Parts: sequence; C-alpha cells; structure tokens
Amino acid sequence: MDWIYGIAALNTLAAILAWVAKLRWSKEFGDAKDQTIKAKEAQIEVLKAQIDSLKSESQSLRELTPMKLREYLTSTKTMLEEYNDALKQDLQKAHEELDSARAQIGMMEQDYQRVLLDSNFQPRQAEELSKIHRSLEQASRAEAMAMLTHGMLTRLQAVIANAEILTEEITTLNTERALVRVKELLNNALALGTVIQNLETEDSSGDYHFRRQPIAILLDEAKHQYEAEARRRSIDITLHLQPVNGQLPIMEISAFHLQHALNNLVHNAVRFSWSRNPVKIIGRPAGTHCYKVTFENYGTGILPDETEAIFQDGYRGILTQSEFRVGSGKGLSAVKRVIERHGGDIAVESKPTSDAKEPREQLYLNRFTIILPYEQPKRN
Amino acid sequence: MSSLKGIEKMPKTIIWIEDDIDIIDPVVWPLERSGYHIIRLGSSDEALNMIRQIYKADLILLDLIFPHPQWEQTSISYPGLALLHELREVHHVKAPVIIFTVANNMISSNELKNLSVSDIIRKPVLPSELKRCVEEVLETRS
Repeated sequence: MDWIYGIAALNTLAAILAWVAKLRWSKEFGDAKDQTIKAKEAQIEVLKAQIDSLKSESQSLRELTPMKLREYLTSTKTMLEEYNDALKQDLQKAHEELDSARAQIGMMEQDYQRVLLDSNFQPRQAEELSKIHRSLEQASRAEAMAMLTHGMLTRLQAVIANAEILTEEITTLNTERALVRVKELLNNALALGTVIQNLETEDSSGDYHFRRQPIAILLDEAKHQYEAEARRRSIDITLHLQPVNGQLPIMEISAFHLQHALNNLVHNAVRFSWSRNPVKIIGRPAGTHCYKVTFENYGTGILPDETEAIFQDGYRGILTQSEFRVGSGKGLSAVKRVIERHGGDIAVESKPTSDAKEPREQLYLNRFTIILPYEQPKRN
Repeated sequence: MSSLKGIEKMPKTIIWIEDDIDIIDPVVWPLERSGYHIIRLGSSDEALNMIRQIYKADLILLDLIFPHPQWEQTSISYPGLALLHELREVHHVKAPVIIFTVANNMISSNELKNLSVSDIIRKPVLPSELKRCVEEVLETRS
C-alpha cells in the first residue's frame, strides 16, 4: 500500500511543479510581450516624427516654386548690380586720382628738369622734388587700387553671369545644370571674399582663434574653389596628404585666416599655370612637431632675386607683370602674415624646366612650401 | 538655291580675346545657346597665331588687359589696343570690334575712331545685355 501512497505523492508533487513552471513561463512571456509592445510603440513614435518631418519638407518644397526662386535670384541680382555700381564709382574715382597724379607728375618732372638746369639750386626747389616723390607714391597707390578692383570686378562678372544663367535654368527647371551654376556662384562669391580679404591689414584682419582641426578640410575647400576655372584651362588640381599616425593631420589653427592663405596659394598656382599642366598639393610630416604642405605648378616663373620680394606688400613679380595676368601684389604678403602668425614658415623656389633662353618663353616649376606646427605655443 | 539656304544658316563666328576666360566663361553662354560660334583666345600671341580665323570672324570681342609681350615697347595705353592696332594696320582685319573690359580709363574717341571700335562694354555686365549689344552691332553691319 505504501508504494500506492508514494506514487500519489509523486503525482501531486509533479502537478505542483508543473503548475509553478507554468506560472513562471507565463510571467516571462508576459514580460517579453510588454517589452515588444513598448518597442513597437517607440518605433511608432519615431515613424510619426519622421512622417511629420517629411510632411513639413513636402510643404516647403511645394512652396518653393520656380516663381519664388526666380524672385529670390532677381533680388540677389539687383543687390549685386548695386554693389557693382558702387565698385564702378570707386574705380572711376581711383582712375581720376591716377590721371590727376600723372598730370602733376608730368608738370613736376618738367619743373625738375628746370631745377637741374638751374645753377642756383635752392631749398624751395628741394621741396618741389619732395612733392614729386609724394605724387609718385600717390600714383603707385592708385595703380594698386586699379589692380585690386580689376580682381574684384572680374569675380563679380562671374557671379553676375552665373546668377543670370541660373535664373534661366531654374525657370526651365533644369536642376542638374542649375546645381552646377549654384556651385560656380558660391565658389566665385568665396573667391571674391579672398580678393577683398587681401585688402585687409594685419590690424583689420580680426583676432586669431586657434582650434585643433584637420587641415585637409581647408585644403579641400581651396581646391574646390578654383577647380572649375582650372578645368577650363585643362589644369588638373590634385591633393595628396600623407597621414600622421594613421590619420589625417590635425593642426591647431585659426581656420578663417588659414583658409584665406590656402585659397591664395591655390589660386596663384592655377592663375600662373600654363594650360594643360598639373597643380599638385602635397602634404607630409616635417619632423615630429610640424607638417609641411607644398603647392606645385608649372607656368610663369619667379626670378631668383625676387623670391623674397614677392612676399612684400604690393610687389608684383617681373615675369607676372609682362604676362599681364593682373595681380594686386597683396595676396602673398597676406599669406606670409597668416603663416607666421601660426608660428610657421613659408618659402618659394622656382626653376626653369628647359634650356629656353628667353625667361618669358620658359616653363617654370614653382613650388611654395608652408610648414606649420601641430600645436601652437602657449600664449599669455 | 539649297546652297544659298546653307549659307544663310552658317553660324556667326565671334572671336573672344580674353585672359580671364577660365573665370568669366559663362558670360558668353547665351550667345552660344543662340547659335553663335565663339572662338576663345587667351593672349595676343594666341590671337596672331589664329589670324586666319580672325579674318573670317563676324565680330571680335576684345579685352584690353591680357598677355602681350611687345606692348611695353609701344606707347599705346593698353595691350588690347596694341593688338587691335596690329590687326587693323598690319593684317587689315575688317571685322567689327567690341571692347569688353574692366578697364575704366578714358580712351580718346579719336583712338577708338581710328581703330573702328563699334562699342565699349564695361564688366561686369549681364550676359543677356552682352548678347543684346553683340546682336545690335552685327545687325548694324549686315
């Protein structure tokens, strides 16, 4: 009989255990179900937010009619035309001053000749000579002004031409061509900014705010800015930066100022290249504390005794002048100022690539090298 | 008759002498879209090497400031005018010329008359305005 009681007890125990297991599993299933529901609810919330965002984007796109774009571009064009008129007035004024200075110089040169012929050279005549000197300085300033306005007006011509063509592209809704025009507008506006920044002096160029960031972004930006005009002369710009510890170099820089300097270096490389020659931007470590970037181009050269003078404010290279690709003589002095303010250094070399005797017929390899420290020295 | 029709449909050729073409090229696009054939030349040397095309051109669009190695030896105020002088006097080019330039200095009307300059357009200008001026000069000539 005992074995019967034993079996009954075991049956009862098994039933209890089965009941406990069922209770436990059902709780786990319930928890899992709750979690799934919560996750689905969260997904629904995310989807709702995405739908709202898409609805708002769709609304914005519906409102962005060709007519509105055209209105926007027309107002931009009007603004540019007003700016253009102001620049024209400034230019006219500069030319008038230049003409007047030239006339004065003419008269004073005649006086000077008379002074030379006069045996009784007097202090009053020395004063006349000093006046001639001042007039010459004024004329030189007016000429520099004319060069600068040339650069600005050429850029503005590109901005205006692209703006009008973009207006037409938008009207016919050719978005691909419109995108190309928008990029050209943007790049020309940025390049115009670089030309205007070249006018600034050390005092007016703003405070330097140093921050650690990859220099590659700035070099890439400068490359993009002048790529379209380089392509039109079959000039290919390449950028290759050697990594530092397996990653792109991070430098402590004032990005606003350094971008201006890099834009000038890339623009010069393109501007003074002869067609169908490459522009190469190459970066590599220079020791353990610095990084070196070279800008190479093939074209109009720099004469050996000019390699320091080209960094002086207002100096324009002799071969560049005869080429008559107008430069203000301001860009490289600004570049040197920015690089030195970063605790860096800049150097240039220019060498003929053939035996041609006439420098103006000679293709030169020009190489500008900048060396920048990774870290800025501690300043008080 | 059919050959005459062919002649009528020949696109008009414009020679554009300009050293900043790489920057301001879009300014002539409306002319190209209207069927004009634009030949772009970047310096006086390039222009003189293409003298045959210049003879055949219907119009010359001329910048005043661009590379011209011999210009410094002349007393002419701009490289562009020195080139135009050479085109007119030495090569007897008859095509109408529009000066298209940033330069704002006064050029004497006598000088312009002697060189048969049809118009002066100062940059910057709307591409549509440039096209209008070009067509006006071409219409006057035809």
